[in-house]
Amino acid sequence: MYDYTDFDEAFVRGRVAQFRAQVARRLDGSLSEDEFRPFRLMNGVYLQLHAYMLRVAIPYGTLSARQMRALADIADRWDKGYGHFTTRQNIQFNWPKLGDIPDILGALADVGMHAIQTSGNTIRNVTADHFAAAAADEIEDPRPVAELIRQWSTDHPEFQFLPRKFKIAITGSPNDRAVTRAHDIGLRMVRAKGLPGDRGGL
Amino acid sequence: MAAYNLAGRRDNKYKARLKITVFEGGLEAFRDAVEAEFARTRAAFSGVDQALLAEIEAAFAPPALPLRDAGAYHAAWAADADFRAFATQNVVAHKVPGYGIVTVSLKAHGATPGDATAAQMRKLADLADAYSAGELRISHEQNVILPHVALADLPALHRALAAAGLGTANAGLISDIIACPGMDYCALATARSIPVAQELATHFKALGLEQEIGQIKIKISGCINACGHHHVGHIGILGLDRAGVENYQITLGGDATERAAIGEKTGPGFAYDEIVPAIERILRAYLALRQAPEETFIETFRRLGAAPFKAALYDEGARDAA
Ligand code: SF4
Repeated sequence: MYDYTDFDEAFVRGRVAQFRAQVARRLDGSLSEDEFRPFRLMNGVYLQLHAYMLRVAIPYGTLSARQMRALADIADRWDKGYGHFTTRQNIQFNWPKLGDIPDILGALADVGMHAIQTSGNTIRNVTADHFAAAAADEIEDPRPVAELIRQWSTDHPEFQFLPRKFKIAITGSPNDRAVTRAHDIGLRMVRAKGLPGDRGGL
Repeated sequence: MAAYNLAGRRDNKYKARLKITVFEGGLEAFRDAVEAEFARTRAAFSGVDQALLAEIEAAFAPPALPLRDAGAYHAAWAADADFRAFATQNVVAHKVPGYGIVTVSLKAHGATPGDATAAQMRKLADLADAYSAGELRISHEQNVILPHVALADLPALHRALAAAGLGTANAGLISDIIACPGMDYCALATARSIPVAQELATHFKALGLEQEIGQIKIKISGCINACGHHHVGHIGILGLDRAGVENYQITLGGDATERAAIGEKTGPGFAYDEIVPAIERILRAYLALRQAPEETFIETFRRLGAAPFKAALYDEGARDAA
């Protein structure tokens, strides 16, 4: 599995520290909800019907056991003991207190996770075939390309304020389990001539 | 991305997605804009950083999956009907012989689709460590996947899942419904979606028709934002607000796979307490119309079109009976 590099880790930690200061200013009243909104939307925090909601990215739907345990701990410690897995392979916590969210983001950073670009008019979490690297019909694992897109799109200065949210899905199999045809951009790996070895093209 | 960033509408958030940009301006115009952008930036583009890509690929190297004796699997298959149901419904072939991909359903009948308790998450983490090379996946269908399970371990895994309330053998069946959070949580919702999913799942289980109906995808959204992917459900349900009252519009024949199709609207929508009987009329029509039990709902729909299903849906006599 892909583990965060020092660069990824430093970036995520920096984001947590920045958001912690923004939350503190919201809580002491120096930021109004309207002023705070663009900041929270950079960090996966929505204001729902009853409470704030935090959407955590699960890039291409892949989790380690250690990361799943961290999600369980967050559910117990800061939510109502459960989480909700979404139709874009993420998890949402529906009942966090705003003041706790920086700590939650810190706990996520401990296991190489974050909530960046799970909201707002940005390129959202890239989704992939949930059977990637296991499916019998697969040409090639689509997740390295998904990870490449994740790295490229994260905090990309040109694409932080798109007209609207933007969703990309990728599959490495002819049987499309990733709903690529119902995304803003759908990528399908195909067998292509002229590529080294048995590699798929896109 | 650059072309969309320039051309996408910023005056109306309901018309700002790429699909509207392409629809309003035409595919040709958008393609030209992408080509023009590419021509402008091409000189500076040196291709994907191959060293970086190689590094990422190395991180995704598959786990070692040694060949194991599958005797325990065959013994459980012969002896245990629950195991057979689970292995049939929730396990598919792996690229490595002797292994399977296991779908752990988060759709126990009456549960909120996609919800998992902290205890269930911990159990899944432990089972991933024990039986799936420490790896889990989340599917867009809101289930958890254990991607690398030796068939030899499947009986033990199934026992552990069943004991944790995670052994529901319904992957791909009518109770395996995608539903967005809807009015129970979402500030944008115009109707409930979770309770509709719960009632459909318990209703068809009570009727004993789940296995009989077989593979079908029902998808429910609580507003036009379509987080529940209702357009591409074999049966799509879209919850709207008609003068303060929930009203559910049904679409038929959507498909989320490589044969992608947008479902066709059937006609007038249904009130909250009419939606489960309405879906039952559609599925009873399917059971009567299919050529053989192997013909799935979507195959019957493709063969016959929407007309016979609409007739059943809006037939007043049948409505009284259901
Ligand atoms: S479809 Fe609408 S109601 Fe459902 S989650 Fe999306 S925005 Fe909310």
